[in-house]
Amino acid sequence: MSERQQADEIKNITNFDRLIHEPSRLAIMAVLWASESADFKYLENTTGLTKGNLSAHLRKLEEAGYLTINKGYRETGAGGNYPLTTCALTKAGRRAFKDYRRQYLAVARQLED
Amino acid sequence: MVAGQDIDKIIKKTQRYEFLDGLREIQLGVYMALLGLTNWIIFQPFWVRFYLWLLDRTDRFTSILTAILLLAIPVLAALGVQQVMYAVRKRWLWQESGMVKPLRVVVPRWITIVSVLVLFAGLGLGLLLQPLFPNQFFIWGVLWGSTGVSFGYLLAALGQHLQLKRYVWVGILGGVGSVAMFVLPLSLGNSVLVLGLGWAVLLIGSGLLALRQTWPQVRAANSEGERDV
Repeated sequence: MSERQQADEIKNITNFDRLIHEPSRLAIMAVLWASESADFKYLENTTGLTKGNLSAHLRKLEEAGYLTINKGYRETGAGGNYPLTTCALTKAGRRAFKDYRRQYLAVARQLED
Repeated sequence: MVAGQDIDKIIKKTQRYEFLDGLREIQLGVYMALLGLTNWIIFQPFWVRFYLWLLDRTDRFTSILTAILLLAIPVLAALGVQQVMYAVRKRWLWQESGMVKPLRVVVPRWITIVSVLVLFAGLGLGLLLQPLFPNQFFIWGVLWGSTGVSFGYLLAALGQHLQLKRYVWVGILGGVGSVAMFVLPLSLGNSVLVLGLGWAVLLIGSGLLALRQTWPQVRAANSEGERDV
């Protein structure tokens, strides 16, 4: 492999969106990419993160404009209300995840070769 | 670094979530049953007599509206079942596992395209075979049989894509059963009824089995949640 090719490969890896690249946030983005929206509980169960950790990561992604967070309430049968937080990717978030995935697969293919 | 396969697993798991409890199949089964039934009704003498009576007694607009309402019944019923589905999930099934709103388009485009090609292939094959079956019913069998095979392919391919074995089996069984439509001597109305009811039995049966398997897990999770509270 030429020096130029090696340099290109290193550049591809360093070009990864670091906000998405973090494993917990990557898992969150993957869940939301596969759905129109998901609530906090589903994200918590699927990612295995603690409530505090998940909240922190969601806030970071929201600040970057990658997702929106809607806070509401859901009724329970006993007449009570539980907080219901739902998250959805923005257009920018979907684009960022799609780009990240494409970059990642390209690098993974190169590494396999 | 998180592997690409991990991301794909998470994506597939979320896509699959919508179909795990069997409620989508039940909704689809209700739709197919009513689709078959309403289309059968249109070809029945009692409906023709009623429609002519309606035309005679009321204006043209009322008669056309009545016909449209009849055809809209399957869609309205499917929407009604969907509301029930959301309520059941919100209250019981997804209370502990969380809520997900699926993407509007779940079936990958290539699967839809191939299923349409399967439909045309079936129609083409039927037209080629028609000289061998010179009876008035064959063409309806070809039409609905091809539709059934195409739908079976779509379900099986979706099941394969989402790693849902249940959908693969329902698709294959329904598709194979639909092939029988090619040779059954049924009129247009009767053939669409048989197709609709056949698929409804498969889909609702499969959905109920899945729901039965999911329910105990949901009850356990919900009662565990209540104990924690």
